[in-house]
This record gives sequence, structure tokens and C-alpha cells, in this order.
Amino acid sequence: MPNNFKETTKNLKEIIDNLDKKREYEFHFHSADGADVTSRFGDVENIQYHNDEALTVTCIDGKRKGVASTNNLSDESIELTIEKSKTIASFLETDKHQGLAKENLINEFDIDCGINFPKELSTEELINMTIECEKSALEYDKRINNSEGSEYAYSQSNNLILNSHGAAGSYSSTSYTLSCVVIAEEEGLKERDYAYSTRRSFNQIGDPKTIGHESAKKVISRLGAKSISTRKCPIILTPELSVGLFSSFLSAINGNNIYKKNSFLRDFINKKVFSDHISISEQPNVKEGLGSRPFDSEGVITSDKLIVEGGVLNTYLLDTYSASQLSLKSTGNSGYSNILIDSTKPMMSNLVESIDNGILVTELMGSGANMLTGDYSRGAFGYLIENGKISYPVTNFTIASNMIEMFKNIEEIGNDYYLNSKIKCGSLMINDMTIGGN
Amino acid sequence: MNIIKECIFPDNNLDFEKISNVIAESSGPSIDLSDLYMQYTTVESWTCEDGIVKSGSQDIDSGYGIRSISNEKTGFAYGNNFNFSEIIKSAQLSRSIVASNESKSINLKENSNYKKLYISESPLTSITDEDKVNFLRDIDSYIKGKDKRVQQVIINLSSSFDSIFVANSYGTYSFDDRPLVRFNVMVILKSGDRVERGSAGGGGRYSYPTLINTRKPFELADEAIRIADVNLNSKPCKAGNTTVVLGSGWPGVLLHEAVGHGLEGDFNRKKTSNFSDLIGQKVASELCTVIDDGTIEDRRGSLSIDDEGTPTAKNVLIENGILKGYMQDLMNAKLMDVKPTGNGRRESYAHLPMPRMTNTYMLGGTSNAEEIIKSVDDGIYAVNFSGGQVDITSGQFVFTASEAYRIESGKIKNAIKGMTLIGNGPDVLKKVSMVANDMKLDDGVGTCGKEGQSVPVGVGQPTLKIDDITVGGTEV
Repeated sequence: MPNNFKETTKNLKEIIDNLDKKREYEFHFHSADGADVTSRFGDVENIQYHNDEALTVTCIDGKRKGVASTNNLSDESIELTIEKSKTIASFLETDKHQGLAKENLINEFDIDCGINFPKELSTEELINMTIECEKSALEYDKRINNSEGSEYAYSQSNNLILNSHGAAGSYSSTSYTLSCVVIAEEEGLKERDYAYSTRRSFNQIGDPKTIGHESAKKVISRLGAKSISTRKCPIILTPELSVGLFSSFLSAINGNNIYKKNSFLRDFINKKVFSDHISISEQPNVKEGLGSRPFDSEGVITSDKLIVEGGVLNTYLLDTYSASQLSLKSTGNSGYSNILIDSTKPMMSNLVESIDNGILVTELMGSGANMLTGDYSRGAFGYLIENGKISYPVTNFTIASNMIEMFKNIEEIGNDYYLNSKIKCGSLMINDMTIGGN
Repeated sequence: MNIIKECIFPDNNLDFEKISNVIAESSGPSIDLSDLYMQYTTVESWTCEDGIVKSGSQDIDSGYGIRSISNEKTGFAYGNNFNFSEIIKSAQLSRSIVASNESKSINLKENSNYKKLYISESPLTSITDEDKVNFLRDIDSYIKGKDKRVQQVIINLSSSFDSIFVANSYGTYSFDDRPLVRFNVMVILKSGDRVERGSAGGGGRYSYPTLINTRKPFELADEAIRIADVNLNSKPCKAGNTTVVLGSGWPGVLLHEAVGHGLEGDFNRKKTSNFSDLIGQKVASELCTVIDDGTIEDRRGSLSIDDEGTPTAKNVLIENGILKGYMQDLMNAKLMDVKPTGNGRRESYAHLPMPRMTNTYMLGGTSNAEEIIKSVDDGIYAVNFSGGQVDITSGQFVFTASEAYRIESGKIKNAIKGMTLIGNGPDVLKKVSMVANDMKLDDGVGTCGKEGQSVPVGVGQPTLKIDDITVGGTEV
């Protein structure tokens, strides 16, 4: 733990301990520093150094909640921020559900949860990595004639939670990302694609050349895309897009959307959402996990849980407030950690072979996922599948259904896990999607 | 009141001599441009939900960013401690992108040659906190009194006040104070088994009374109820190619995505846009004239000066279908050897400036909206959109309608749900076959995202007809 974070922790602990006992207080402090390096056409283009910190103070005064934040950590500024949170609370109306987390609270500073791997690297090393990554993409195929460059990003961040009921916890984490974006052109038509790797430790991001090659392969395979006619057929979503669909699911079972009646899954507790073979679990303590954390953003200790079992929704994701609204207990889900999507069916490495006619969708665009009704309609790019094989790239079409139907229609899950997200999931095969084309 | 000038400078013993030293330290012989951006922002937000004004927050964010540009290279460092020695350290870090130890002497002069487009007072203190709470409660009871099918009402009132200072190695500095108010209503209605949502909002660069002492918030509440009601009776949308009539005002967001982003200078310098190298060529039907105008008073997308100190302008992007110019910041203007257009914007001191839109709209034509609808035998009338996205390289864009209707034999029929438009920017603009004389700007709700940075923008357009565009929906 960096020294200044240690000092801030000590200082804030002293301040919160000496605040009045009439009100409840929560301090959330976050600091991060890091660097971003971008190279384009073999030369460094951008070097950025980051250094951020922010304190958020929540005050609950007689069931009224005021929040104020500042990025100036001087004693005077902290004092003003606390005062502001009190003033805001005093103008609000009483809400019987307001209150800070009281049970299952963290009480340990500087927790090692296997996600903090600081590494000193020189700017030269970083520049060389991005140059090598982009070079391997540019040299892959002559049709790759432009680039948005390769970017390396590093960040080390520190998290602290304190509340007047005794929550006191902190941990640090690191993240490393290397990405590459290239453009290919054929017959005057341009396509753009990317590849990236994001990990907790530098040693895990992999060979820069591999990332460069992946971006090159992806962009070249997009060339010569054709339009497609309107039809109903099964689709396969790549692991990256599957993650997006499951993040819509997790948002739909978030307690704050449930109590507001703002979710298409508002009446699905203990009911079947997916078909029998699917289970979904949360695992907060995975070593090097992108979502790993010892406590949630209210200081509640997090542990493994089964969210979906045999396709049935076991629990909503609840923070203290939404739990009170629904007369339930917090599940330690002010936010979520690592999510694993699993199937009891044999999980194949290549789902394309499992369908005769359909579409492999590799890109989705637009915001057409309605969280209230579940209606789903988005723009897409992909590849036509004929007789279990990829035939040619297809563009300018939409895929549509309703998420309630889509979840039920997930027939297969692949074991080609996506590792750049805290949601761990493979490809999905979904039946009966409407394809809108010409 | 500019907080940088009145508080940050005196509190940290900063003066223009010291600022000149910082600029000198971040520049040098091989550096084309360096600048220092200082910012102090206060944001507040009040929300009424379940009939209770239950949450309020205030955030203060302040800091500085320094960048040094050498040809196509940029070095950038930022921090939030305004101590002179810290700022100097950042300046040296930023300059380290070019291996140079020499600095350059700078004489700074104030740039005051621009028009102030909005007031210099903070909206946060323009009315009392009690008045803000009472206002939200009034709107809440108004909505509940109006419709018995209401399941949920969420009303938000927020504002920010942004004081900025920018100085650069060209030798100029400027101050700007930027107020911004935003109001939003979301209503969920239930009828039988169906629930649908409607939302509406508005705002601009002014203080609270300009908005809340008018009928506007009540009109926006009516609008949210109306949209939810329309959607309660909506039917599934048929997928395939069809004629689409876009309504006036907010549907201009399609123009923003499908055309605007592709005309930003950085993408065209790097030739990654599908509008690259097309200046002087026909990129749209001759009915289309598209403008980006940062100079409209009080508008959400307007700025007196951009974030690099360049006064904003009314820039013609496309005139009668011919591509006239791109939107530029200082760096890309220099590299492309054109004039900056006042489009250099950044989300905050912690982000690098880049060419961004302000208020982007299409000028009105000669048809009228009624005759456009009448001319469509079989198609869709799209009045509101919930959001969209573009790939500027291929030109592909996608939009989702939040309010749309079938058109049959020249008449507007039933509402449709889950409609998505997909197309290619230049292709679609060439298919614009009628443009009405009812140009309207949006109500002041737009936020544009690019490379992880969000900035407030405005959009606008007249009613217009696009022949043959792909529509997504669940029906075959």
C-alpha cells in the first residue's frame, strides 16, 4: 500500500471517529495513478500520466441521505464536504429505507486479495511494446493500410471504505491493458477492428505480437461483407458479445431496478429465466480476477453465491437500500464482482459447427436493449454460417427479439471463455432471432 | 465569477508571470504548441422518486492539465494540487515526450476578443435548495394528478458551474465560466399486462429560474406521459427495407452520429473516416446543408470559447450536398494546414482536447411536414430516438427509436416498438429526398461520447424523408 494512501486512511479514520453520533456517515475514498502510451505507425503518439483521487461523503440524517464529493483532500476541503453532505440531507425528505450498511461489515485494512501486482516499467519499454504490437498487425496483410495505433494502459488504484457502524476496509489493485486498432481497405471500402488484453498482472497480458495479429485477422476477415435478407434463424454470439448480454441480465436483477419496477425481470424471482442447463454464480475472491474484491462499495463482505441454478433465478443483487425497499437483506451487491456463466451440457470449443444455417454475430451496435420491456433490437456485423461452416462476412443488418425469449433460447454455451471481463462466459447459441436485412 | 481567477490563483500564489513560466517549461524549440488548462467544477443533482425528494449530491472536481505537442506527438500530465512546484513538475513531464531540455520564453496576453454567450453566475446558487426540492415535488404531484396509470415517476434536476482558464505557448490566455442546467422526467405507465416508459428533458446554459419559472417543465412532464401512453399501444415492428420520415428536432441525433463524427478533424487527418479526402465532393443529396454552430446563446452545446481558447464559430460542414470542411482543434488544424474552427473540446482537465461537435443541425428546406407524410405509401415515421452509435471508418450507424409509427397510404397509423435503423452515413444522406421548412433544435439534453470523453452537445433538423433504409424489428 503506498504511503500517502496509508496516511489518508489514518487521517480519514480519525475524522470519521470524531464526527457527531446523531447522524450516520460513510467515507469512500479512491485514488489511482498510472500511464497511457499510444504509438502509431512505428512512433510514439501520446504519453499521458494519470493521478486521481476523490473522497465521497454520505451523511444520513434522520433517514435523509446527502452525498458530497471532492478531489481536494486538504483538511479544510474535507470539512466543507462533510458540511455539504449534512446540508443536502437537511433539505431532503424522510425516506424510511435510507441507512448505511450495518451487518457483515469489513474490518481489515490493506487486504491482499490477489489483484495487486505493481511493476516498474520504463516509458521506453512501454513504447517498444506498443510499437511491436502495431507492427505485427501492419505487417500481417497488405490490405491493412491504416491504423489508430496500439495503446498500453497501466493503473494502480486504492479503495477505502469507512462508516460510522464500524465498516473499515481497504485494498489495492492493478490493471494492465494492451490494445491495437487497425484499418483495412479493399475496393475503396474501409473496415476497422481491434483486439486487446486486459489483466491484473503485467506478466499475463501476453505477447504483444499475438494481440497485433488478432486485430489484423479480425479486420481482414471483415472485408467484402455483403448484405443479407430478412429471416428468422439461430445466431451465435462471440464470447465478448455474450458478456454484454449477461451484463444486461445482471442489470435487470439489480435490486435498484427491481424495486423501481424498471426491469423486465421484476416478477422472475424463483422462476425460470434460462433453460435447465444454465447456472450463474458470483465468485468475489478469484486470484487475479478482474472483478475480485473483499467487500462491496458499502463495506459489506462479499462471498460466493449461486445467482441462477438450473435456469432458475435464486436471488436479486441487493445493496442495503434496495434490500430495505424489498424487505430483504443486502447480498453484498452494491456492484458485482466476478461472474461465471456455466452449463451442465458439454461445452464445445466451436459452436459454429453445431448449426446448419445461421449467423455468427461478432459486433453489436446501438442501445436497443430496453430494460423495462426486454425488447431487443440492435445493429450487427457478422458471418453467415452454412452447413456448420463460416461462409462470408455480412453487414448492415439488425438482430431482434425480447431478452426474456433470448435467455430461454440459449441452447448452447461454448468453452471459449472471454478473459477481458469480470463476466466469464463463452460463445452463446441463441435460437429464433429475427434478422432484419434488405 | 471565475473561481480560477478569484480563488485558485490567490490561494496558491499564482500570477501570470508564474503561468508564463509553466508554459515556458512545457514548450521548447521542437514543440509546436503547449497549453495549460485549469478547471474548477461544481455539480449538483436532486432526484425525486416514489414521490419523495430522496437524494441529493454535490461534487467538486478541480485540477489542471498540461500538454506539449510536437508534430503528431502529444505529452500530457495532470494533477489536482495547484501548488506551483507541482504544476512545473507536470510541465516537465509533459515535455518529456520530446527529448528536449530547452524551454522557451513566453509573454502571455489575454484574449478577450469573443462574445459571451451565457451568464457568468453559478446556477447552483441561483435559487435555494428548498426551492429545488419544492419544484421537484410540484412536478411529481402534477404528473400523478394527470394520469392514474402512473407506476413510477423519477424526476431529476441538476446543474453545474464550470470555471476554466487556458493559456498556451502562442502567448494567449482566456477565462470562461460555464453554467449548465438539466431537467429530466421519466414516467412508467401500466395498462393491463403492459408497462412502458416515457421520458423527456430539457436544459441549457443558464440558471434555474430561466427553466423552472416557465411552463416548460410541465410541458416536458406531459411529453413523458404522452410517449409512455403511445408505447402502451405500440405493435411489433416489421424488419426489412423501407421509407423512413424523421421528425424535426431531436432526431437530428442521427445526423450527429451518421455524419458529424465522420467530419471531425482528427479522423480525417489520420484518414480513418469514410469522409476523408472528400472536401469539395458531393456527399449528400443537394437538399442537405449541415452546420455546426457553437455560437447560439444559452444552448447546451454552445461555448463562448472552446477548451483551447479559440472562439467558437458557425461552421458550414455540408452545403447543398457538397462537403465544405471539417471540425478542427488547434493540433489537427495545424497538421492539416487549415484554420482552427473552435471545436477543440475536452471532458475535463484530466482529458486531452480533440475535435468535437457543438450544436449540429440541418437547415430547413421547402417542403412541409404534412406533404412529406402524404407522399409515403408504406413506411415509418420516427419521432424520437433513445440513442445511437457510429463506426466512422465504415460509416455504419445504428439508432433505436423510442417513438415511431407506421405510415400507410400517406397517413400516420399505429405506434411501433423496438424499431432500429441501420445504415451507412453518406449512403443515407444521398437518399434524403424531401426536407421540410420546420427546422427545430432539441430541448437541450444531448451528451456525446468519444474515446471515453463525454461533452454536452445540441442537435437539430427539419422533418425529412429518407428513401429506402434498413429497419430492424421482431416481425418478418
